[in-house]
Amino acid sequence: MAVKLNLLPPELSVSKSLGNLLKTVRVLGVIGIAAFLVFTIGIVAYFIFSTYSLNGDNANLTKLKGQVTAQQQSEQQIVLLKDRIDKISAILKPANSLSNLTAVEPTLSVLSDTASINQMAINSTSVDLSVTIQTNSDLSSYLKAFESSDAFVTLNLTSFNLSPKTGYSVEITATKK
Amino acid sequence: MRNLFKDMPESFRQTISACAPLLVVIILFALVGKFGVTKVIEIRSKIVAAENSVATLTQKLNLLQTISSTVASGAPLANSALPSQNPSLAVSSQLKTLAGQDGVLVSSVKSTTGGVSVSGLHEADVSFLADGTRQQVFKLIEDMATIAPVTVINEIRMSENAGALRAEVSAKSYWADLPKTIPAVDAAITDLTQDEKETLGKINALVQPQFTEVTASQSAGTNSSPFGE
Repeated sequence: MAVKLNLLPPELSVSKSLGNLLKTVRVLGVIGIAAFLVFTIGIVAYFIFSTYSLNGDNANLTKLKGQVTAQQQSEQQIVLLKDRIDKISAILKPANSLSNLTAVEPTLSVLSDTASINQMAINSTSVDLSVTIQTNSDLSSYLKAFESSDAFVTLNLTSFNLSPKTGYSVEITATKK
Repeated sequence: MRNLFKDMPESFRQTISACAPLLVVIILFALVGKFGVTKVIEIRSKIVAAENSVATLTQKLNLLQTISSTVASGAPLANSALPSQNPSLAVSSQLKTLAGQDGVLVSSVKSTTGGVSVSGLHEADVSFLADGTRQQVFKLIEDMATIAPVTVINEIRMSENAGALRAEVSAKSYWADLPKTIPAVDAAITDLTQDEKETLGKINALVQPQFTEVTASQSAGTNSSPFGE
């Protein structure tokens, strides 16, 4: 039978509970050192890998910058093109007199050669039109053409005269949609 | 110091010797952790920034390579549609060409410099008289919208007498300074949007001004005595 002998002097002995606690602390210390080594190696490895990856990205970036710089003429052209397109869109966007001219043109095309335009003033918002018409059929076609047109939002018959010499004088102010 | 340690009670000495490695490990964890994690976060952010730049530049390079033919043909036309200098001369030239094609007599062509809009567009006011039949004059005015430089009809006044129509037309043409800067090399650029492509289609359809280039005389040298015999 084994006999447990404590040969340490009594002043060097520690209590059993403290001895167990210290043993646990020592084990924790060893585990901590191992964990610290793993952690440090992991951090260093990750740092080296990241540095390598960053160097690769930077080399790729430098190469791409060179290739993009070589395409500088295309880039200048695209900047110019986009600038011009934006500005031309801004110019073409608002309504202009041409749309009113094209809107009023069908109403004039129904007139025969005997009818004529006295005055016509067109701007971007309205058309002031004074026409001399000699025949009843022209007058009827003219007014019907205006009536059937959906290009104008308001039509004001501002003057309507009949002269035995010149025929009908019809003045209309039309406002575009 | 050694005596001080020896004089300590045994339990205290053993506690210190057991706890010291754990304490040192905790301190090292804190120091290495703070330094190492900071460095790793720093390098990660650099990698993310570099990867973003690589992605942007790759997209930009692909776009520049694919769009180059469209841009190469479109840019000069767009610059002709909206030149960098007063386009009055080109508009007058185009007007005369159209008048010849449509059989309209154009006279009293006047051009004045207009204002400057907020968007940096300079205006050139062009006015003229057009004489012809109704169809001819209408066609001329409609054709004005198809020429480069871009010209917008501002106001029209017409009167007709015995089948001859006279129109007093006021139009505006525009010019704008060229862009002064291009984006940084690593700045992204975008492809033309659908609206921009439609506008480019309209620009491509515009009738370009035809200028004849006067070339220098082939006979080299100068007259040594221009006032002589």
